[in-house]
Amino acid sequence: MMTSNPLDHDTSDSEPAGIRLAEAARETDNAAWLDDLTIELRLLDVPGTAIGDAVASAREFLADSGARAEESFGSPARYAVELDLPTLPEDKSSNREVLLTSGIGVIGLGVLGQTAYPLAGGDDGLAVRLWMVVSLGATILLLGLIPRVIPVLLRARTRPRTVGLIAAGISFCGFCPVLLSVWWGQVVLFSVPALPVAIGAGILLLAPAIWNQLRQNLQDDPIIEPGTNAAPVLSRGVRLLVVGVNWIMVVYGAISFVLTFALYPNN
Amino acid sequence: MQPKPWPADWMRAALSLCVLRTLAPGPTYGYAIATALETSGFGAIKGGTLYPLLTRFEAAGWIAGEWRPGAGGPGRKYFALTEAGRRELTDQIAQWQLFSTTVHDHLQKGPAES
Repeated sequence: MMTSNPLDHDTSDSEPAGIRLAEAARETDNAAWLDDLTIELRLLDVPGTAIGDAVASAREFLADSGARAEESFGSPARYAVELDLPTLPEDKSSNREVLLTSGIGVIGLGVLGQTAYPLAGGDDGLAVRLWMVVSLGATILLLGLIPRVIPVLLRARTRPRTVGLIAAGISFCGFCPVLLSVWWGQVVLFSVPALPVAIGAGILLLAPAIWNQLRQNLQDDPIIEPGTNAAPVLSRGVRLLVVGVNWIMVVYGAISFVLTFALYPNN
Repeated sequence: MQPKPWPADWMRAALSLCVLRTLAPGPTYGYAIATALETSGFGAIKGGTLYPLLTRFEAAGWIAGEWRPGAGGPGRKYFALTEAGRRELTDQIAQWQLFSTTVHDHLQKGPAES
């Protein structure tokens, strides 16, 4: 049975421009709110079909009532919790996989960074120094924070200042060991060939990102729009964010590597 | 219409039963439920209040939801009472009437003498 909405708003040309602008602003705000609700429900491990149903129900109510989402439903995070939808059983093997792939990527990033300096200077050998081993240990410790940082970044995506502060913090932690290497005593523990180590580190850095991208594309639990069998297309912002989070280490590694070559003295 | 909004804790106590009662005549959708309750004098019911209740009823098996297609999308989700929901509604109405009689008697006569 088809339904019609007696409350559909008249968008004819006779409507004043101010009202049309207000209506467009409301629709934009509501679309952003629905995106936030999708993310909050995903972070709560609600199955894709239930997310699709909850988001479509909220969209339907907003279209019928002509209300602003924030006024009618409150904050997306609180509403997602209040819905109290059943969640997927916690998959410990999936959590381990995330930690493992993130760990491999971080180690690849760290080691690649260390090979950049000797390679930029035309040196075939990589002198493994004490501070490098310390940095690697610190990196592995930071690794435990990654699963916690991703939800924070997703929730803060509409607050550029917070995202900027987090990014600045991560960058500071990443660059500090490199900067310290310029001034610190250089106690060499042993030496290894730089180029094969750089290639190996590059593979370690790329492999997890490619693996995660493939897994995302397979979409093991897509969000299904009610009444259809197809997943709706996410907004461009959300899609860019998901891809960005996955490839952020590769981009960071590539930029650092290129900058080391570009800024190396006498190059 | 009531002169001022009902106290929030009264609404919390009564709303779930009243939502079930709104579904008794036949399947209906979220905004129509909110409008029916407002017309009955409960004040404006927000989506953030209504849908968590409907989700809870669906999980309890008291109502069943069905999406009916609209012109340009998934349309509307219609909720209908199940047999278990009708039994629950009958039970709750009987209990509420007892409760409201108890409250009314207490308010009229004051505490019972021991």
